[in-house]
Amino acid sequence: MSTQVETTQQPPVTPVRSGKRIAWDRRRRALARFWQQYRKDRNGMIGLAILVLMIAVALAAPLLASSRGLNPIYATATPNAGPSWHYPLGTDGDGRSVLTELIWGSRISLLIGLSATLLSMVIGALIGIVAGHFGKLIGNLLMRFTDWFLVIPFLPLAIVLATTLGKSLGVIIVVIGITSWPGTARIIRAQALAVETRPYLERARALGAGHWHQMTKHVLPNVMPLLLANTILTVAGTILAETTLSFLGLGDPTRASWGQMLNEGFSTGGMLAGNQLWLIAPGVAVIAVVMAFTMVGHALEAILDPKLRER
Amino acid sequence: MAGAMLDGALAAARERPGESTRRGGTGLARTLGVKIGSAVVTLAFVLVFNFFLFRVLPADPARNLAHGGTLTAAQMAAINRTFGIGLPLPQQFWNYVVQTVQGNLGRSFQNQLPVSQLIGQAVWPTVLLVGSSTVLSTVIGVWMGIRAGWRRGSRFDKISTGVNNTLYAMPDFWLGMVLLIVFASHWAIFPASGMSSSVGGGTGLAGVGDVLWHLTLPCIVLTLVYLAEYSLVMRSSLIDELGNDYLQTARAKGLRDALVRRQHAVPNALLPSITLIMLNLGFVISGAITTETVFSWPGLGLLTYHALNYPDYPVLEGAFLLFSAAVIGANLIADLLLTVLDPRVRQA
Amino acid sequence: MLRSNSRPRLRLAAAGLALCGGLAAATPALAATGSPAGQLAVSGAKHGPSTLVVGDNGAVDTLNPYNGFTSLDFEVYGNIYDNLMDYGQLDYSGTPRLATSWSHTPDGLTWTYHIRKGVKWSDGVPLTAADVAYTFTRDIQPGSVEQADNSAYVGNITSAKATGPYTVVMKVSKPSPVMNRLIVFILPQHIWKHVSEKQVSSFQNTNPVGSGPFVVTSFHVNQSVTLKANPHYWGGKPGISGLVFQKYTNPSAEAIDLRNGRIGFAEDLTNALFKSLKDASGVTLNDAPSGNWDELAFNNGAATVAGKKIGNGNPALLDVNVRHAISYSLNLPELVSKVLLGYGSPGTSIIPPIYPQFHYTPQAATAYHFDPRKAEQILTADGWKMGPKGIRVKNGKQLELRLFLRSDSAQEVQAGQYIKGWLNAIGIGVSVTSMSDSTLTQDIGNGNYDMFIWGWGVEPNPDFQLSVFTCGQRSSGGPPNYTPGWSDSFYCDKTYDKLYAKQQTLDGPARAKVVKQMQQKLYADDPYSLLYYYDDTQAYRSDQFTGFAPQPNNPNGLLLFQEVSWWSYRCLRPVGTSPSLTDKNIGCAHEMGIAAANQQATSAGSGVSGAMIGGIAAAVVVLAAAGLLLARRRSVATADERE
Repeated sequence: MSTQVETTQQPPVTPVRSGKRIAWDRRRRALARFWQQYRKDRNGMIGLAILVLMIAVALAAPLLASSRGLNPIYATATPNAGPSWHYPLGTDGDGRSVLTELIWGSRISLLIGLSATLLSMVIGALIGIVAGHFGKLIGNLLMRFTDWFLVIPFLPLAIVLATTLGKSLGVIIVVIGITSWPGTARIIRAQALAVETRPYLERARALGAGHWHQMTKHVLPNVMPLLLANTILTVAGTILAETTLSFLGLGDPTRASWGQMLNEGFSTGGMLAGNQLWLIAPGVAVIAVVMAFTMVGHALEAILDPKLRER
Repeated sequence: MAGAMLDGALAAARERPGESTRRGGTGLARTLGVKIGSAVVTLAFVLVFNFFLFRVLPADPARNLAHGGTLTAAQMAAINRTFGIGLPLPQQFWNYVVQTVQGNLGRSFQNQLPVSQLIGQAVWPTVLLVGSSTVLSTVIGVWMGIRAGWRRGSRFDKISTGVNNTLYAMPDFWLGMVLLIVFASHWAIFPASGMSSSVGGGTGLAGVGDVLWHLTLPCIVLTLVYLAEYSLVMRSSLIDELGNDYLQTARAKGLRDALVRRQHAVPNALLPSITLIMLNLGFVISGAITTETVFSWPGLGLLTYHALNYPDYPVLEGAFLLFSAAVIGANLIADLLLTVLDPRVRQA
Repeated sequence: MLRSNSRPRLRLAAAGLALCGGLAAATPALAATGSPAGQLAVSGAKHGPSTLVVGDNGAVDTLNPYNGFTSLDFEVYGNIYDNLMDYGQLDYSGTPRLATSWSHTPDGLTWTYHIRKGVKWSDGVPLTAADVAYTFTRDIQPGSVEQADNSAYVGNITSAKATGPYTVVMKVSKPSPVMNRLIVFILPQHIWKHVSEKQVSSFQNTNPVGSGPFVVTSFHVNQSVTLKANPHYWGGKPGISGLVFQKYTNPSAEAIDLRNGRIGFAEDLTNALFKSLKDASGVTLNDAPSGNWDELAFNNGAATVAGKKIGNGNPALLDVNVRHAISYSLNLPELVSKVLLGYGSPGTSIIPPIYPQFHYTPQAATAYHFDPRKAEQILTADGWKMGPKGIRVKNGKQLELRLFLRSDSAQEVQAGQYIKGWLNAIGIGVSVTSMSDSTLTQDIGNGNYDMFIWGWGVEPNPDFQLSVFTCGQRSSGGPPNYTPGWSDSFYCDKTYDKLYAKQQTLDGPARAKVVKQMQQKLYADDPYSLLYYYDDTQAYRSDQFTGFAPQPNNPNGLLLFQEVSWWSYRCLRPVGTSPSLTDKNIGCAHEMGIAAANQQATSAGSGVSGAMIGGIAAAVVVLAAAGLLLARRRSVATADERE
């Protein structure tokens, strides 16, 4: 065979892409597929719509209602008055507009919910992944520890901590965060165990990858979707928790979160005495937001959790 | 705080029971023994946790009793000795363990009554409230869940899922305030507070009727809030079960739908639900805190509420211990029930 | 609520006149004691329920009078136990209770009390001078809980002895007008001698034995206490057969139950709920000025009684100009209209206006009023220049203050938001923290605070309230936790202390003059910025109960929860019943007109003879009383008994 026959005809040239680019392309396509699936879930779409609206309201709060409206010394309206043209949801015990408080309160409620969830997620994921990776002694020990924490009822523990650590936003975030991680830890551990048995992890180990590398580069990305779904569901719980703690008087009375509005209405008797919307509005807001997070979370779970497919 | 707890508990409930027993085979007694031992260890952990939680916190009962300098230094020292403050930490811990085991939970800061007495008086109203609402929410919730799960996608399913999602997201004290305003103020059908009438409550049968009349609104609140959870879980576990092969076989064999449902699907789907209900029982007790506050129902929740603003540490400590013990106990019962009921576990 | 647990001093004015007035009026009723139990049903009216349920947002902590400290605790104790004398219902003048009369030696150091005869404890044992002597002897034991509780009354007593079955002689270390007004609960010796000093703090006293108009039948701690009328009460049978104090955790529930008639009296409703009951049928509202006020307190230089400086208070507050500026920045009328919803008045001096003889009214020209411009001028002139962040700066230090609020009080937390707003507006940074009472007490005792909001309840005797600002009431002891005294301002001024000692030895207008001087000094030095005097918002079912004895005796006097008095409980009765009065049931003077009218209406025949008997009896009594007064006047050489 003549070696001189050089083919001058080049094969069709596909542009050379870096490994990173290939990975991003793959992710983009996965995302598009994911979105196609998500769109089919009606509840998930409703939940998403509500969430987007809530976040928009929270971010745009200064545009929607002047923060001066939160300062009682500038409130000139009659306290506990029913709805009117200027005050669509009526006024609270200081004569401030309930609508203004509702809008600004969304910031506090969402801020606490997200921060506490972030804290809980970090702790829960850490413990779950480590427990799943190391197995045997350390894993069992960590799971025992998690089980013990699961047993401690949330509200009494939160009450005790908040009572003694003081009443501020920071304390509430910490309290809720460190009482919510066990649920996350359990789920993540279960998923991590499943991931651990996959072949590419064995390969990585054979190639000499250290523990840290294995956990962050392999296990974590694969539990991330489930973690995300669980996180969204946890936010629902933390918002409810903050509302409850504020209602009991453990929140920060100078910040108008939705729970704080309910606490004020309860302790001054204002909601019975004049403006029922002061009770109804924050409650409806909490229900809507919690429902939204729950629906989105369940929709995500349905797509991402292999055990829950075809539900 | 239903959300996160639900998922953690669901995860626990969904894990195939076989997973949780290790080194199988040597019989029921051993399995039960292991589980009870495990519960005791958990209780011990809670005791230790409880101790440190309250001892490392600023607590000065003498100051509280002093109300501004009406006690001499010697008297304050004596009071601190009664509460065990000032002793070295290991000594305090030992005293604490011994006293707790003996049932001595200290004295309330507010009124110097023994905490065990206060808790003892408050337990029964809470058991009554939580018990009645659990029965109702279980029965109604399970029924709804079965009906919705069996006919997935039907109108009933859609409506009940919507209703349940809403109830699940509802703060229980908010629902309580709304019901209070509607049924105790607007239409004065039910009383607004307490467990019995201050005057003329009657005795015997009339007295029982008076208590039931007061129980109605708070019970409705707790029932509604928890039935949503049970219904959703029952529904999803039934759907889970329906996907199993053996049911296809049963249907292929020509068994009627209702029979298939009653004799095969439901009993198996019920297991995770029962587990969840029992797990939840422990939490419902502490979840009653806000409902009891709204309705002034004189149970453990109201006791906790009154203690938290003082703060009356001995009472909080005792209540915390009791709440945790309730959860541990409920978990243990759930575990044992599961072990006894589920043949798959026993043979493992 | 910082509640003083000392009792007020009685003012013995024309007691004889008041007494004989009561007796004279009671005679017509005496003449008609043929009617069954004196309960005449006015024709046509329905009988109300005969048990009064009083709703409150607190609960009785304990039935042991040495351990209680809230106003509700004392409300109950005053119904179970008696004192030697009471503040009169009509005008706080002294009224005999267990002591029918008393006198003292010319030097004012020995006091003799005559104890009422025929009084029985609720367990049937007769009450004698021995019980009185025992109670006082117990209460003066140095370093005891009993002494600490009663020090305002028994502080100067050195001994108390029974010199006969119905005579008690007490010796005092120096002349003490307070011996005319000993509001100290008399306890049965045969019960309390079994309770040692060590046991007192934990003794529950669940079945109290007392001599008062009511007896406890059941006690549910943190919920309710139920009492029944004492049928053998020496003062006559109360008009109601039962009394219940019911705690409400949910304020709205209290209002709902009042509307529905499930409770007969609602105490201390929130301002919003009180307002909402305006048009409720069958409900009468009573917006009653009380001795209560809230203040913005400053850390005026925390130090111990030994003079050692403690704590981390911001030194800026040591400058009186800063405190004045703050006082000028507060819009007190707005607090009254927004926080109190109008149920109160702006605050000035520490003895409230309901005690007009002691209250100090500042001159209009120098009084603090809402003037932010002036406040800013004062700060600027003092060297506090406005900084970049809107906070004033002086010598490199920012003017930032901490404000502590009590999470227990919705009213104070609400007021705190306004104060923060007004201080921010004049360039003072404020960080607000809400905390529990016990944490705040600890921080105050250690001097670790800048400002806080709390309140006081002032009794007819201003002594205790004045003492709070003396140097001797500051913290004591050592680190890490100092023992707090009653002072939460750490105000210390030698002149003030001298005036305080002086007023303790005076009575009448001379005393009032000194008391006003002290308030003037406090007003100028501004250790507290008084926010408002808030009313006691009481509401009751006037279609069910009547016969309340307001104190002071004017249209909006307090109906219940009076300043250490318990008049209404003996007098009030269900609508549709008549007052059942005997000559022993003193104090229901306001009922006399009704009783007399009923007698006229139902016993027309005996009217003439009744009036004649009444007239003669009245004349005899007036003569006797005049004689008594004259006799008493002669025995008083030094102290001026008139007030």
